[in-house]
Amino acid sequence: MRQIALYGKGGIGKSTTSANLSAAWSDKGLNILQIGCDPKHDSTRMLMHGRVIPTVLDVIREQQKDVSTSDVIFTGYSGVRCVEAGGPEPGIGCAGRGIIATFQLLEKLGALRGDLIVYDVLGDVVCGGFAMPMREGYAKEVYLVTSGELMSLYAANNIAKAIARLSSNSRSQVRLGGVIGNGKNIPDEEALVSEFATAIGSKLIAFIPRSPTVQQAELNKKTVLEYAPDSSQAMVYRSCADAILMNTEFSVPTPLSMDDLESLAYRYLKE
Amino acid sequence: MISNRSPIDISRSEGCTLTGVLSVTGFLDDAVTVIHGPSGCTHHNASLLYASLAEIDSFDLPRFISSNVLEEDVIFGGEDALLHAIDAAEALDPALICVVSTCIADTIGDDTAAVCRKPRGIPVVYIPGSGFLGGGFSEGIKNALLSLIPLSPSMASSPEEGVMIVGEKNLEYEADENFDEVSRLISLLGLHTGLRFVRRMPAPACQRISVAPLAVLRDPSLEPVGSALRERFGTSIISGFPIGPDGTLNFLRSLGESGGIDSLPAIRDEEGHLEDLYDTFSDLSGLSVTFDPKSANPGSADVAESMIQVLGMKKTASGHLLPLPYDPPVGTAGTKRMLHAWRRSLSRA
Repeated sequence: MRQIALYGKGGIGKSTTSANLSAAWSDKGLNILQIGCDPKHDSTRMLMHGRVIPTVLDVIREQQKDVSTSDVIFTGYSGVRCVEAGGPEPGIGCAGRGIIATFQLLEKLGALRGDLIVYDVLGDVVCGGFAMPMREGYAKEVYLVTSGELMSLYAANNIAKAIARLSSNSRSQVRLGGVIGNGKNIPDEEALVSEFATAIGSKLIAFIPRSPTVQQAELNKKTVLEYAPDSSQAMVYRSCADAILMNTEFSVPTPLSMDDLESLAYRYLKE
Repeated sequence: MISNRSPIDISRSEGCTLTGVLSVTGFLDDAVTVIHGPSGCTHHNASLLYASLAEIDSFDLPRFISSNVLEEDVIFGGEDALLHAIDAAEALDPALICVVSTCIADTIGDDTAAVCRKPRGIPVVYIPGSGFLGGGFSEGIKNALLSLIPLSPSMASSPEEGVMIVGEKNLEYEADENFDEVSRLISLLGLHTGLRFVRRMPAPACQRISVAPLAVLRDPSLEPVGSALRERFGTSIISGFPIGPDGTLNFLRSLGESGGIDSLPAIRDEEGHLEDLYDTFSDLSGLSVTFDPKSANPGSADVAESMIQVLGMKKTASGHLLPLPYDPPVGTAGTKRMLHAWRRSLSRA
C-alpha cells in the first residue's frame, strides 16, 4: 500500500488535482482511499458528484460511540473511497487536533487500507496536527502542488521546510516525491516551477496547464476524468498519475531562503 | 509571546499559575471556583491544596468544579463545556463564581472571558490561570486579586474599615501568625485590621474593597495589585509585610506616614520589645555559625545576617549550619520564631 500526501497553498487546486489523480488511479483498477484533511471538507466533492459527505469530526461530535466505517467512508466515482476529516466551526477549537483525532479513528476502524491512500491536506502546515499525514506510519511521499505565483511557491517552500524538519527524526520515513505544477496562466510558469523544484532538491513530476475543462467538469459536479475522459486535460491528469506511480526518487528537500525564493520569482517576472 | 524558556530559573516549590489563583479563590467563603480545562488540572490542584491545607490542620477543601474539557472540546471548542460547568456552579447557589482558565483553554482559543460575561443572577469573575503564558504561583495570586478588585464599586473610604490586608499567602504554615503580628503592629498606632483580601473572606465583602483607606500588601511582588487599588480607589498602599527588626520599625514609620499618625511612640515601644528579644537570646552570643545563602530566600538571609551581628554570634565557614525560614520572618514575632529554631538546632548539635 502506498500513501501519498498532496500539500499546497489554499485555493491552488490540491483538491481538484487529488480527485482527478484518484479517479485516474481508480480507473486503472487500483483500490483508492482519498482523505480530505481540510476543515472546509470539499476534497472529495467532485468524486461524490457534488455531494458533501459527513465529515469524520461531524460523526464523532454527533454519534460519539459505535462509529463504523460506513459512517465515515463513502464510495464515489469509479469506487474511490472518500473521507473528509472536517473541523470545528471557524473561529473556535483546534482543527489540528481534529486531524489527529480523525487519523486515530480511521486507524481504529482499520480503514487505512487499499492500494493507494491519498491525503489532500490544507494549504500550509499551519500546526503539528496538519503535519500528521507526514508523520510516522502515514504518507511517506509528499507532493507539493504549486503554481508560479510567489505566495504559492512560498507555501510550497514552507512545506518543504516541514518535510526537512520531520526527516531529521531518524524514525521518520517521509520524503518529498516531487512538485506538481498547477498552471495559472503565468508566462514561463512551467519553467519557473521546474526550477523551484530543482532548487529545493526535487523535480517537477508534472505540469497541469490551466484549462476551461476543469471548470466545466466542476460545474457538472464531476472530475475531469469522468466528465471529459477523452479531453487533453484528462490525459494530463493520467500522465501525472502514472508519473507518481512510477516515481522512485524521493528526497529530503533543501528549502530556499525567502531572498532566494523572491529572486527566483523576480527573475521570471523580468525575463 | 513569552520569551523566558529557561527550565531552571523559576521556583518549582509552590505550583503553577493555576495553583496560585486557587490559593486565593479557595479562600473566598461562599464562592465556587470553576476550572476551565481538563479534569486533571482540577484533580491535581485539589490534591495539592488538600495536602497543603492538611499541613496547616485545615481539611476544608474549597469548592472546585471542572469544565472537564475532553478531546472533543479541544477540537470543537470548549465554551459549551464551560457554560455547563458554570451552570453547575450556579446550581450550588454561591455568592460568587470564579472561573479560571487553564493552558488547554487558552491554547485552543476559548473566549473564557466572554462566556463569563453572560448575564446571570450572581457575579461571575474570569481569572487568567494559564501557566504557559508565563509566570507561576505568584502570577496566579496577582491575577486572582486583580480580577476580584472590579467587583467593588467606588465608594468613599472610611477609617472605620480599618487597614486592609492584601494577598496573604494562604498556604504558608504561618499565615495566621504573620497576620497576628501585622495586626499587633498596626494596633500600636491605634489602628485596626479590616478586610483580609483574601483569607476566609466572605465573597460579598469583595464589594467593600474600595472602602479601606489603607492597605498592606503581603509581598512587594503584589505591587501591581497595590497600583490597581491606588488608581481605582485612591487606597494608600504599604508594599509588604515587615521583614525582620529593621523592616518592623520601617513598617511602623510607613504606617504612621500613610495614616497621618505620629509613629514615634510605637517605634520606641517596639524598639524596647526588640531589646527584650535580644536579651532572651543572649545565650547564642559567641557561637560559631553559618548559613547557606544560595538556598535561602534573600530576605531571610538578610535578617539572619543582621541577627548574627546583633547577638554577637560568629559567622565562620565551619560554623553550625543555621536553618532559615522559607519565607522571610515577619515582624518581631517572626524573628523570634527564627531565633527559637536556631536555638533548637544548636542545642541538638
